[in-house]
Amino acid sequence: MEGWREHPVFIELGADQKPVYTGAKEFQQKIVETADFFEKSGIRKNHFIPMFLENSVDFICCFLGLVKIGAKPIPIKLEYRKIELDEIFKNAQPQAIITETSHLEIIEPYLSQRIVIERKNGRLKLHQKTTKKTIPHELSDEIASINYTYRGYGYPLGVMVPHGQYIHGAKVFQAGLQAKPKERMLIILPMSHIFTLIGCIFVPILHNITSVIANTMHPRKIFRLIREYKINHLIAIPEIHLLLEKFKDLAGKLPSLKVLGCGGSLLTREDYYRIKNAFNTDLLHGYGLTEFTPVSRNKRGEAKAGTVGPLSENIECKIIPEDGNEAGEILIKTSHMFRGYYKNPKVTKEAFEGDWFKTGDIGKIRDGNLIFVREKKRTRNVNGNMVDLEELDRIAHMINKKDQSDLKTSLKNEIATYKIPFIDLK
Amino acid sequence: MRVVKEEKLMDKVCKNKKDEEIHQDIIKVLAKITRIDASSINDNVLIRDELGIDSLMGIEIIAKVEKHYNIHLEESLLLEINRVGDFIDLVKSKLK
Repeated sequence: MEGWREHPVFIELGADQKPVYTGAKEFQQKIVETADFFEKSGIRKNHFIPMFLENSVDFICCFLGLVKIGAKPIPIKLEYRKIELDEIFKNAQPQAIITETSHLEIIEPYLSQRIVIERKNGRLKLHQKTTKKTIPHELSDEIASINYTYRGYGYPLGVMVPHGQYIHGAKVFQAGLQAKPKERMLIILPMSHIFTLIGCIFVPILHNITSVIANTMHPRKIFRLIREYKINHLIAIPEIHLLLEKFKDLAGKLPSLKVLGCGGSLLTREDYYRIKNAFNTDLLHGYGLTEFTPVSRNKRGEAKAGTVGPLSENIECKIIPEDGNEAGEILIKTSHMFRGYYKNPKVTKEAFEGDWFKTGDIGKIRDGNLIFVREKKRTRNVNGNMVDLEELDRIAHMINKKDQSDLKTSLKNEIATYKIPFIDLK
Repeated sequence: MRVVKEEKLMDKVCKNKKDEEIHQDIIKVLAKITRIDASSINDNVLIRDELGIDSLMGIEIIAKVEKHYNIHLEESLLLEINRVGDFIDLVKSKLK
């Protein structure tokens, strides 16, 4: 935490919109206290801990507190419901859970014989001890976290993310962003996503940038926050920037705003210019996966519309052309790559060709910039969320209901809502 | 006496007309954002499960309705509302 002086590491806006400032010393102390609290609660090295937390300083302290004691955080999307959680819990066999109190009801079937820590009104407390002997998993020290993703296999895969990916990812992300100490970044994307973890948590912490944490995607509120907190960088998904563009007449003047960064889904050339012309800032689009982020990203002052920019440093990439086309599957190689899918050697093996990782995405390289074309794998990206079509086929067959609207309604408690429109009985 | 009664009747007619306009306006917004024909959207349609409205679409709807009527709606409201009719009623209640 060198380089931090008076400027805060975080400004967190609660439901009442009152800002809570956290300085560097306080943040460091909070991580140590959180780690101590976890140890006192029975959490040990190589315990797996799913985190059901909203965007907050607590989220970051829990994540880093777990990493500090060698436990493995598993950031979970709060939208996930029974079918997704069944798969994750079956695969990870976690020893403990950290959750918002409001989420306890949803995850009730998974609490038994586990240590449960709840976050209530911004405070962590031990909700449940366990008498069961909690045996740690066997896992290499180089793994920092397990992050679940979809790859078209019909179930989520536990990506073993090494420490190096967070550090190196943040370094190359910053090489594109070129943020300066004391500048401010607005965090609105869910922290459970690897793109947010690297781009919006590790980049600011490692480069003395103040993060303003908000739980809103409402254009009017975002514009107000940018003005009020003099935000310089807003990292989001293209869909959010497009939404802001649609309501640009609510923006007023945003003199502090320098960079709009995005990733997670496609940004066409036309949309790039729509957003850029609306806000007159740098617009940096990048490409990455849970297995490695960012693979490529545009750089300030050099961004090319319709591309995801030049490859990140220390990453090799090759395109396997399809039927004589310029475009083909993107293969990547880097020493900071994920270390396989947890307890899934078969899928891990299938994902590699030698030491090249097959991204399952189709792209091409033109003038030194990577261009994302489409997904090869049976997935669809919805507002930055990966939807696995194989999983939905499986669910549709599993639940024997003929009326489609009835099926969709009955799935509300089983699967994340954003996946439901893709269910088709045909 | 008769004039007062007629005025009250006119008020009621105007109110019903205004309610109907709000109703139609909101259905138009929903149809435009979801790209579903307005004729297939009625009060009983489920916002998320049948119209497929996700959180971002929900915010776009809220922002559009706010701008059109110059009112403020909370983002969290859409999570609590299930049917199109409930959303229309909520907007109407804010306009009172």
